[in-house]
Amino acid sequence: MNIFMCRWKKSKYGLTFILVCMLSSLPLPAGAADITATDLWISAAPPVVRVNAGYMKLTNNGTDGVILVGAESPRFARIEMHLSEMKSGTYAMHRQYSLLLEGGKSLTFAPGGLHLMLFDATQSQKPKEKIPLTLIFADGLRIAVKAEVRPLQSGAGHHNH
Amino acid sequence: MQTRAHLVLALVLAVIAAGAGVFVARQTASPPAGTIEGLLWPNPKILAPFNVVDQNGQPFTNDNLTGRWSLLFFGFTHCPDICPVTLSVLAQAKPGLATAAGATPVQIIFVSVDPERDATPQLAEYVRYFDPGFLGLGGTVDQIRALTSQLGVAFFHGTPTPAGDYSVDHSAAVFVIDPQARFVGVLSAPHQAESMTARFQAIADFIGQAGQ
Repeated sequence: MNIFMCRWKKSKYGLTFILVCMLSSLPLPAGAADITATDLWISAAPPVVRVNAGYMKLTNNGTDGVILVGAESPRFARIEMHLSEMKSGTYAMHRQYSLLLEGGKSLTFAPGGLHLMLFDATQSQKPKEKIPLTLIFADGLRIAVKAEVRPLQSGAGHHNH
Repeated sequence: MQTRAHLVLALVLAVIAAGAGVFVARQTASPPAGTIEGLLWPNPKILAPFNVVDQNGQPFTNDNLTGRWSLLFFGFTHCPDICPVTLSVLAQAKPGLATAAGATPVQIIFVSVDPERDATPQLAEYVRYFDPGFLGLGGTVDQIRALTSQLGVAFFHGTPTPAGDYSVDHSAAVFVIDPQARFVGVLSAPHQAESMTARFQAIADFIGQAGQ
């Protein structure tokens, strides 16, 4: 698993991070490489909006739980995690500061529920563009992923399949 | 005698025909009001005068609701999830809604419950993104409240973060106004194009067939 992480970091950031990886390989968080993020997408939105939403399926293939505490991207000023909820016919968004992903379980971010709230894009997104995101966990694990920009209907439809 | 026999036969046939007519009418008429999901009947609410501003900066009043069906959704452009999802569903449902309404036009309206941040040009660009035919309404908070209070639409502005961002809780339903500018239906969430169209069709058919 550590080898996988090293490779991944090498391909992503070059030689500097090989050293970092080697240094950090001993205290590598439990279950770190067992986390997979799939079907990542960002809903295409008119340039006029200040906020976008990001969705994904996060799976913990390990046995130990991990805690997602946030995400960041060079393309957005900041990212928060929110949950859309309907109570008594009224929609509200609740910020989530941490989300527990238990071992062997998945967490789905989907329209109308959990979503990454992406604030203040540094540049507009193009359809099908892959936007880099880094998922940040409480134990220090950071996972670099890419989310595709999709129109909402096709994105939501894709998710439902 | 033969004439009388013909008369009796004619009467019998007339009774049978009338009975058949009633039967057919009952089969094709809308179901009772109480069984139509979301229909507000009897006594639909006639909207009191309100005056808001459309996405082009033009006044929008009760008059803009007459002669067409209107479907209203209340939200705000800083809403990243529910509002775009609902507007996308409405865009997807639009052709079906138009078919359901027959010859009467249908207008789909996004009303901002965050008019301080949703300036008119922003609103125009926002609604146009989902469908070029969508309308966007804004104005002052008081102007918006004159409309929302009549429909029972709730919205609450949250406490701003240090960065100055705040969320707005808002009603999830789509509100249906008939061509006489009466509040006749509520399409409750979660929204899905096919079920939304079917529920709207039932409401439109009932109002149309009732000749109300």
